[in-house]
Amino acid sequence: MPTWSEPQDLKTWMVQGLSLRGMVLLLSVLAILISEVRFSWVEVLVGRYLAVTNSHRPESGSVWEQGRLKQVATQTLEQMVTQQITAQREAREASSLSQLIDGLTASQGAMISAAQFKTLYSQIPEAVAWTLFSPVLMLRISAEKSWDRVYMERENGQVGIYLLDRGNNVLSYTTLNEQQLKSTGTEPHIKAGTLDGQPEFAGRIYPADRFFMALDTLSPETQRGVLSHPGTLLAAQGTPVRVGVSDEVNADMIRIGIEMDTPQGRQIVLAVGQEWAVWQVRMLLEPRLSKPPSSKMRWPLRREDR
Amino acid sequence: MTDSLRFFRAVTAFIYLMATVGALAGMGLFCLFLVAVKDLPQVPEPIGRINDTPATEIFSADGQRILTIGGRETVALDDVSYPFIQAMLATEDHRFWEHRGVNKLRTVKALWVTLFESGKIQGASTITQQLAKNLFFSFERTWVRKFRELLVALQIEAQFSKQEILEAYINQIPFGVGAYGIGEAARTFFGKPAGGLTLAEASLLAGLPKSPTRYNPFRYPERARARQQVVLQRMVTTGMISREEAIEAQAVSVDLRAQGRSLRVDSYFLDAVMKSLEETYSPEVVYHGGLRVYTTLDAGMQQQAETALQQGIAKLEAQMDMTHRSEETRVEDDNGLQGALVAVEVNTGAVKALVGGRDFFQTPYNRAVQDNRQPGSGFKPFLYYGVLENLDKTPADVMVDQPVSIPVAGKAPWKPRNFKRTYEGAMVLKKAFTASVNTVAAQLVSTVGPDAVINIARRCGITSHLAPVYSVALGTFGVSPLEMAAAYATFASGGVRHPPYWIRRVEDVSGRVLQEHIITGERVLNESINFQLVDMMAGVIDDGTGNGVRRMGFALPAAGKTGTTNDYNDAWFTGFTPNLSTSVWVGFDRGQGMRDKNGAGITGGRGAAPIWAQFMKQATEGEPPRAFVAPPDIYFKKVNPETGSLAGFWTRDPVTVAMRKKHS
Repeated sequence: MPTWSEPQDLKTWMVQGLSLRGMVLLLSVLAILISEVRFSWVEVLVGRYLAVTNSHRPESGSVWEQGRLKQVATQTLEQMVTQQITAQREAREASSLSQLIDGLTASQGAMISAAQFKTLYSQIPEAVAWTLFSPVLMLRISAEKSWDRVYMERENGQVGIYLLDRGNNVLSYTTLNEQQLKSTGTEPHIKAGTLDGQPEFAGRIYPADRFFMALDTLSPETQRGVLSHPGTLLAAQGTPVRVGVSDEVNADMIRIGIEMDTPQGRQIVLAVGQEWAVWQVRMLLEPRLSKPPSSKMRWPLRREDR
Repeated sequence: MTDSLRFFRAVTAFIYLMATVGALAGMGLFCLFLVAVKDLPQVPEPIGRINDTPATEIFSADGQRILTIGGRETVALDDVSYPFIQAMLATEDHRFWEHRGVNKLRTVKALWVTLFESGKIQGASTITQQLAKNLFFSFERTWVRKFRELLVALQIEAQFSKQEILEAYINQIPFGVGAYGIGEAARTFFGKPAGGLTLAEASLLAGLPKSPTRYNPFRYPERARARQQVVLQRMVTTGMISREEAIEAQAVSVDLRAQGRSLRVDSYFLDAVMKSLEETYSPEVVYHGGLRVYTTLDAGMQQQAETALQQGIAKLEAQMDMTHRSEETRVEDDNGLQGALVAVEVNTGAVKALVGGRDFFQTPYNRAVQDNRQPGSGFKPFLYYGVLENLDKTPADVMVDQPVSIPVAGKAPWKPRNFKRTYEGAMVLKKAFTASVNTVAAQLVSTVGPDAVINIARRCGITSHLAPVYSVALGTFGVSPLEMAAAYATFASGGVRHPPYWIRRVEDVSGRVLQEHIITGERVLNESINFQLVDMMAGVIDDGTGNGVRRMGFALPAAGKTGTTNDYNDAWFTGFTPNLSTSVWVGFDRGQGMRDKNGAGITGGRGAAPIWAQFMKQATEGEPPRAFVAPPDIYFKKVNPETGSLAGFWTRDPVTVAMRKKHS
């Protein structure tokens, strides 16, 4: 290829400028420019290149940010819903009120149908049932046909129970404290150890045979008042050795501890009895208790009142 | 060297220069391309994916959808009215069907104007470029951002059909008032589907995306009409319609949807609901999770509340001669005369209507829930209940209205005065209450103690800060209208407190319940004492400082209390029927006093009670009269207003008081 040098006269300029090579170059450049204006092939090429490499580029920009936020929202909601569904399922599957209450967390209440609550309610000891909602109230609310659901939640260390109508209006409401909570199960509450280790029974511990013999001499109504679910006690492991009566009365209910001799050692089965009935047994066990304290004498009357 | 040779040499040099500049520009662009392409965003496939976020919908108590947040209603291109497509193309990008993502001629022209005409910036973005910008980029104006936007536009053009691009574009552009996409816009502004838009409606809508706030037809109808004319002119210029069609469309009156304005995204009630939701679920869930939120709002009542408040404040402004004041004075007045109204259902605590100011758009500060303004005498019911409960007094007991000086430990004695600056001597408690006598209230609080007043207020649901000082009984600590309405609802319900709420139920997009409000009621006041108080409060409306309510024609059994603070900074009226408790506050944000043209102060009875009456008349229209139920141990007797002794036929203006049998 000859070395390029600037033409020194017009003729050489014309010859070099209008040469085949020059014309081809010029026309090529023009053709490229015109075809780009006409067919936008640069845009098409760039666009296609970007489309091909699309998957290798980052998911950035507001539309992707929206997508991520949606993902976060979906996950958060899914978590909430899953928790709720689990809680609801556990609530539905609960075979006793205490099992249902055990499943409640501080942040998660449980909504169950009125029918399920009635079933669970019918399983708890009658005496405890009275302290929750009186059967008369339950019958009245059921008869009104407005009762739809029951909501239960933990609040300030207690459990709140709301009987609701379809509009979520509270038809009746009650709370269960710790002691009542322990009494809601149909299964007896069991603790390892002996009655001597439980201060609440101090001075009120009797041999089991004496206690049950005394109980046997009382009327069936009193017996039911002391042990409303004897079957569940019978189902517990071991042999009764001693029986303790608590010194704490709560909502006219009193705790009874039955010390059992089991292959695993001594265990205490806890039950709840009605105070007036337990008092009858204690009068037989301790004749010095000639009459109950005056404040407790009103019990049968109060029962009538209800 | 001849001239010709010199000319040719110059031409050659120019060609070389141009070729060099061209080559350098090409290389520069290529380098820029290499740099820009590195972190260019990925384009989602399909492009319609941008619209698949589920919407959070908010419903009123009767199931009417009042707000949709996020989520986009995607309308297929075939289902959009043809005039709208034409109007949009004529306005935004009339060569859309021809270019491949960039309009080269328009871009060169815009570059020339921007570079060489000082102070001018011309845009040349095609619809594809706008779509790229809306999907991926911020609104920051830089050359690199513009170049990257152009590259993405080229990719979109290469990857998707024109129909897909146009469909994505019209389904995501903002039209203002919370409406994104043509489907939502057509429903929001005209209450019809996108396919039913006429040329007049389509041209109005096509003009909005340029500046949705500036051309908002609800707020600036004139500007919107002018912009519509520009759109129609563009359609004529680009040959999409004839001049006659444009004139015809311009002449057509466009009917905007009536409810669009009142139940728009920025109402105070919805603002309060949104804040609650964000606190409970996080903003991500609220805006991107697709919740179904069922509120307690009564849409009709909300409309009545807004109207009553706006009309009432306008009347007050006329009385105060504020309507003709200069702009400077208005600026000094901050947001002008403002007000708030909250209505709560007595037996549930459901908030039925909530207005936090005259116009959310101008002042989004929600005075109904956030403002803590002194309630003045509106706080006296808590004092009087405390007196009836703790001091075992009766409404017929006698007190003396006289100048008082109550010693305060370590401070100057407290010497409250009556509003009228006059003293009327002996009077029964009920009269002192209905006439809102401050000196009697001061004597009572000095006896019962401020702690008792605070205790009653807390039992009724007042949560704002209250300090145990005597003046608390005269309402010197700020509370919100929501607190007042809910606390008075406790009196209305016979002493049972129902916490106020505005969200009944929240569901996820599949209808699974996330939250339900349980309507709890707690007895916090003695039913009989409460009835005695309610009877005294009824006296305020029938014969006392709030009797303007009766003069305005509100005839249902009702009770309430006015409140006015020092220098007439705040005017309150809170009252209730057995079903609805409503609190109204009027005042300036900066606390300037309210006085009429003649210098007379605007009291609660004059400023807030008329708004209350107008609202309650409409809100309770058609309701049968229902009296407050008296407990069995309540009986009534007429007493001498000054001595409290049993009234005879000779007694002037006897006062009927509610007594408990234990006092008989």
